[in-house]
Amino acid sequence: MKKIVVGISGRIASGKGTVCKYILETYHADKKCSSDPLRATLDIFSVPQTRENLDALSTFVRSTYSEDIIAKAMGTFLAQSPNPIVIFDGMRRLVDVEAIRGFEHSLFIFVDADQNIRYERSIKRNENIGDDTMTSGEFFAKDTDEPQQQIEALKQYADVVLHNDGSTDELMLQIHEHIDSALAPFVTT
Amino acid sequence: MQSEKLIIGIVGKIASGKGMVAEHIHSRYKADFIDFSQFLYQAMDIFSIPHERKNINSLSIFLRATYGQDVFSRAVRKTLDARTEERVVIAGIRRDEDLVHLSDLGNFVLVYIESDVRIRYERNRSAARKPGDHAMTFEEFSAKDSDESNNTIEGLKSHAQHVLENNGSPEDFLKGLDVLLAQYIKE
Repeated sequence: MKKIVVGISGRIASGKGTVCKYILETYHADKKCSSDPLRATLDIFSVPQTRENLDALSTFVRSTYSEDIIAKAMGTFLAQSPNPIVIFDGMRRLVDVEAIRGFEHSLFIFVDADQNIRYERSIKRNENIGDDTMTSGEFFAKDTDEPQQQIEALKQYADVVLHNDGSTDELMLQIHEHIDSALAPFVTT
Repeated sequence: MQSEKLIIGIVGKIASGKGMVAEHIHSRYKADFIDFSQFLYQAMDIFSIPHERKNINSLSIFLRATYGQDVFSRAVRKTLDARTEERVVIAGIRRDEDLVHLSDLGNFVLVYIESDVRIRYERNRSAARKPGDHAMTFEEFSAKDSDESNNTIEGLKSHAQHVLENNGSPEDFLKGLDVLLAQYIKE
C-alpha cells in the first residue's frame, strides 16, 4: 500500500482546521497530533488528560530523554496508522518536519494568513476561553511568542503554502488545485 | 463479580524468589499475571526509550511525583478491572502506595517472600538476569538492595497476610506455597 503523511502547520486562526477537516472528510484520512503519544501514556495510568498533565509529561520527556522524542514517537504513530493518508495535525517544530520527511511520501501544507485577518477570526470563533474579548495588542503578543515564531519558521519547508486571506471558497480553490492533485495517487478504490 | 476474583500480590526483595512464585501460581493455578513494571515499559515503548535502569528510575520518579504516588496502583487496578480471569497474580509491588487501589478489593492476599541477604546475593549472581549481575560484589548488591526503588519493600511485610521463607530448596519452598494457597484455591 502506498502511504502519504500530510503535515499541516500554520499560525493561530490561519485556517488549519478547515484544511484538516476537508482532507479528513474527502479522503477518509486518519489524523494524529503531537499530544497523542502523551495522551496514550496518561491513559495507561488513568491520569486525567488535562493541559497541565500533558504539558508536564511533554516537558519531562523532552528534557530528560531528548528534545525530539515526541516527534519521533509521532513518527511511530503515523507509521502505525493503517490508513493510506494520515495527517500530522499541528506541526510546530523543525523536528516535526523531520518526522514526516522520514516517510517515502509526505506533503507539508502551511496555511498562511494576514495577522489582522487572523485576529478577527480568532475573536469570532472564540475557540478558547477569553479569545472573544482579546484586544489586538494581546493577540499580537501571543501571536509572536516563541512557539509561534517556531511555527512561522517552518513555512520555508512547506510543499504547499495556502493563502487564506479571503473567503472559504477562495481557500477551497487552492485546496482543489494543490492538495487534491497531490493526494489523488493515494486514494484506494 | 469483581470481589470474587482472587488476587494474590507477591512482595519480596531482589532475588527473593518472587518471579518463581508468580510463575508457579500462573502455571499451576492458571492465574493471570500482572507486573507493576509492565506499565513503565508500556510508556517507555510509546517513546522508544531504552529499558535501562536509569531511564526506568527517572520515569518512575517523575510519574509518581507528578501524578501521585499511587499512579502505578491505578494502572494495575485499571488492568485488573478489565480482566475476566478468576485468579490474578501481581508481581513488582514495592511501596505502600502500590497497595492503595488493591487492598480495598474483597479477595486480595499479600504474600511476602523472606530470604537471607547472602542467599539472595548468590542467587542474583548465578541467575544474572541483568548485565553486570554476575560480576556484582556483595557490597554492590547491598547498595542496590537499599536504593530508592528497593528500600521500601521490607516495610510491606507488616501489610502481608503471609510471610513465606525461601532459604532452602525451591521444591520445599513451592510445596509450602501450595499448602498456603490451598486455603484460597479449591482445585
